[in-house]
Amino acid sequence: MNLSYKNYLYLDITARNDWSSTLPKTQWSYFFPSFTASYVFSDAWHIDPSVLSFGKLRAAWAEGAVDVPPYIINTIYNSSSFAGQPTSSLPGALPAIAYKPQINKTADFGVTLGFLNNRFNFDFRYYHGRAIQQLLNSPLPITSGVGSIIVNTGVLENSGLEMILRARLIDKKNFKWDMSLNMSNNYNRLLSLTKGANRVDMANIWGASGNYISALVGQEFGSIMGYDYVYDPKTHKPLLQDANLLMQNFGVDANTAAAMKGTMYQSTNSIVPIGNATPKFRGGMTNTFTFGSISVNALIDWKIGGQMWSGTYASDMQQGTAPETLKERDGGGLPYTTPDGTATKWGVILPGVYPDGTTNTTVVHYYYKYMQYGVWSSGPNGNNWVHSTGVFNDTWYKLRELSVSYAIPNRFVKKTKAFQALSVSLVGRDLFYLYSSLPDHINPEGSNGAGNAQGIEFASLPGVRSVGVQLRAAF
Amino acid sequence: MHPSKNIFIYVLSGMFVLASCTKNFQELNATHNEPSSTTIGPVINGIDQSLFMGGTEQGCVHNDYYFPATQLAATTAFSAFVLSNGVNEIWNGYYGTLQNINLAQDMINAVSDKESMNNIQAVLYILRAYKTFRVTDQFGDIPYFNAGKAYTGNSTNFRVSYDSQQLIYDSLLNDLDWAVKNINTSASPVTASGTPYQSLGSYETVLGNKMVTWQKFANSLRLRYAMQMVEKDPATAAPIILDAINNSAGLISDGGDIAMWPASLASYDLSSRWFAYSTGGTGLSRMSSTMWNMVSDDTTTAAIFDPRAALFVETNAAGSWAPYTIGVSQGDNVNAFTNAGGLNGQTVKNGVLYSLPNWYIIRDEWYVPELIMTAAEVHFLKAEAYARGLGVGADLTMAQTEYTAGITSSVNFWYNVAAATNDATEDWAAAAPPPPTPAQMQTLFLNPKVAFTGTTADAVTKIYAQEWLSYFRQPWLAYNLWRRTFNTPVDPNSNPSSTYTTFYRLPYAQDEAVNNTDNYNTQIGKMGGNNSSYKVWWMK
Repeated sequence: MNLSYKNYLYLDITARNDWSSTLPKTQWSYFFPSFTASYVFSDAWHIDPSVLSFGKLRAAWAEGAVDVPPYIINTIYNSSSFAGQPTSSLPGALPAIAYKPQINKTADFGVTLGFLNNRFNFDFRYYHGRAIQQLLNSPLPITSGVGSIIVNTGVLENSGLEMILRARLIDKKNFKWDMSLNMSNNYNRLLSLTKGANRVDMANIWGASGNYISALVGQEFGSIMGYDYVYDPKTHKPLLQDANLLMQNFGVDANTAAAMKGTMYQSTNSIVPIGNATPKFRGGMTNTFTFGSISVNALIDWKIGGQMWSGTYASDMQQGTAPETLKERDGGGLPYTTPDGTATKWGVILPGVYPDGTTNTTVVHYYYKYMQYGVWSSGPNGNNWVHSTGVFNDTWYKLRELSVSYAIPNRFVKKTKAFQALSVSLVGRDLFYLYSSLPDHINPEGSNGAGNAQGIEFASLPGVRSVGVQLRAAF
Repeated sequence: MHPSKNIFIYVLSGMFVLASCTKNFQELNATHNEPSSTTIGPVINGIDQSLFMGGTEQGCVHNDYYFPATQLAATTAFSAFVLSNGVNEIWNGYYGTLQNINLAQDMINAVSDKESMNNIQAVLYILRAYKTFRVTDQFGDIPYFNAGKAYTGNSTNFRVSYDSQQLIYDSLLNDLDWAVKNINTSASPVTASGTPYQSLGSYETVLGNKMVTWQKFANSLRLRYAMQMVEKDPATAAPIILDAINNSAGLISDGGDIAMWPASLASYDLSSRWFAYSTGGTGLSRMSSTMWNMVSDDTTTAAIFDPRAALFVETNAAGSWAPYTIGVSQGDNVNAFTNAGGLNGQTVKNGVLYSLPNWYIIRDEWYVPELIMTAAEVHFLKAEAYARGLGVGADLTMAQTEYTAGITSSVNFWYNVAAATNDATEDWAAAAPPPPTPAQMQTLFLNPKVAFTGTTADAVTKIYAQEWLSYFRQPWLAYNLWRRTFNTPVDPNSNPSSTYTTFYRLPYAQDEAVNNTDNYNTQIGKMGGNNSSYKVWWMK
């Protein structure tokens, strides 16, 4: 239903009822409405258009609902056969107890302003939503019999800001400068799941030996979960393994443990949050300069904040292919005598303290400094992984597109008798990063996965720059 | 009529039309390819199937660790598997099955005349005991009593704590005792109130639902696991050993070996074994010098005194007997098994320097069984009990009788398997030598390495050595024996690394650290870490 009052006050109301066979009988029918109101105050107050050419406030509240995938509400057994007879077993994921439609409620406020005969336009939006009865999958230990539980009671919160500014900064006959700027921020939080469930995994590399991108109950989306150093509560420095731990963890005798002093850090037993992949802001700026029939267009975009675990960096460091690993090999380390008696400058001291509080001063081979970066397979003695060394802030600014266009003058175009307009452009895309916070030219956009699953990078290909010529014709 | 009333009627009738569309909803959303209910027979058959070992379990855990740790075989390098993958396969397989065992238990509990379920209950107890013993033996303490129960929907079962191996042992041995005492072997048993016993019928595929065999299997498992804990808790173990040997249920006897026989399981394709040695295992297994020393006096064919040598191992690419000395021999990091298919695949050895496990014993997928418990093992367990006076009175004569019977049973078993193995590409029946003559067996028994002479300690050492050798295709049992006794054969020339000499258990699956964090941390806190150098409870 659309209502308007004097062409400056509008109210839209929708009401929708769906029936879905994928839900249990009591839930087949579900209703969801939406309300949108807008007030064009520039018209209502008859404001001088040369000052405020357009002004609108809007507010909306909408409910959306979707059903669940077909068949998942049914209790079923996996069936197969063995030795000519049927077999039957419980499924590997625990089904939800009661299925309901997934509901998303969002409140939205915005203002749109145009100044100086719309030479400057500004649009701002804030939204805050809550999604309930969400269908999510939360891991359980297989010792429970199942690897995960399907949750139909997930509650998510989603809020954010979007802002767009468009301006014609210079408007001369032979020279025009248009600029547009947009910024956005989004914040997602997992509020609750169900009793006994604590996490939703969006992405993972190498199973329980690797990293996860997860949402923990009560926390923001995009947590990078992995193994970390264990920190001394007093000095806040990383703890190294003392002789007792080395003997336990490596099954070695006291003499070997003494010889291994200063080589190994302690690491957490389980995965812990070691970063968050959600960016603070994303944005872009386009500048277009028009000189008669030639125009130059430049798009710069950026991502500010949000972290990434780089498996490429971890591997490069461990395998000695990152340039910074050359330091000791080039003789920039501490004096160190190899087991065969050769005097070298290969030594390092792993910064940290021992459980008894003493600071580590033992010089060891540089191998131990770099080895810890990329250990992710488990041996017979449990884990000694540290993933936090591969976590970086991933902030970047990129010259996304630069183009120069020439509009072929009309007098030539008309002579063709075929075209209405013709233009030729030289276009460069993904040209270069103006700034990247990542080391060793790792691709800042090389994350495996998309959406909420971003934050794990491993062996990503470098970005590809493309330059082309474009011909546009209108008939 | 007022127009607004019209609209109201149209909307209402529209709603009615739409609502009536839900008529076929339940049918539309019914799952057509999976059943919504089940019975205990197919559930038990699924548990039966889970008795097979996984390919990664064998390729990594057995070939990379148990064989070299026990020196029953060697490996020239670590396989392409990672230990955690083998661990995950064992761990996930067990707990995925445990929930089905619990489901079957619920079905038994729901029957009003419980006695009518006694035979099925016994089968379930035996399956659960066999599977659980295998897992606790490899890991130590494990979640057990409350594990595999998430399917009940009770969130207290989502993350469960670890149970002590000793309590698990006591509980499983009680279950087995119950099974031995309550199996009714009559043709058509009825309960005290006159209800006929329920039967699994053809759903029980591994032992063909033969309750006499199940009873002997249960009793034999009591003997095996009482012996496994006898060094740590002799007071509990000794009476069980005594009872298992003497009670009327009997034990697995010669020819009654419990195994997964692919040919009798509707021609099951047992591909995991070949996978473990070739594709993923990359063909790095070799004959150990320790094993060779137990079957031969030097590296000539004439010096072989144990007829099983011809079935367990074969010569290197040059046709020579070349044993691999663990920690000393070098090189040979090549896949010995490059020709998986085709006739005469066994003749292609890719130039390997050292002798290999016998082609047929690992290549065949249709006849060579996967062993669960052999009659030979029962003989050796009895021999040990008599030699050491565990439960039964010490009696070296009886010990020798069982020792000789054990060796004979093992030799006969493998010659029978070889003679029965003949498919399109692997004709072991034709390639294998004929069964040993009495004279050849006499040569075996008279060899000083085998002859049952010397002190009681010598006798016990020889029993362990022959038991160990009989486990050539059950390295997990050799691993149990080694950890229990530390008195299995070791080549004095070998120089194994501490990776093998202190490999006392498998580390827990890392899934526990990630998803059962609190209980896992409590457990490894007791152990000082999730280390394989930590001794499980029954180790001295």
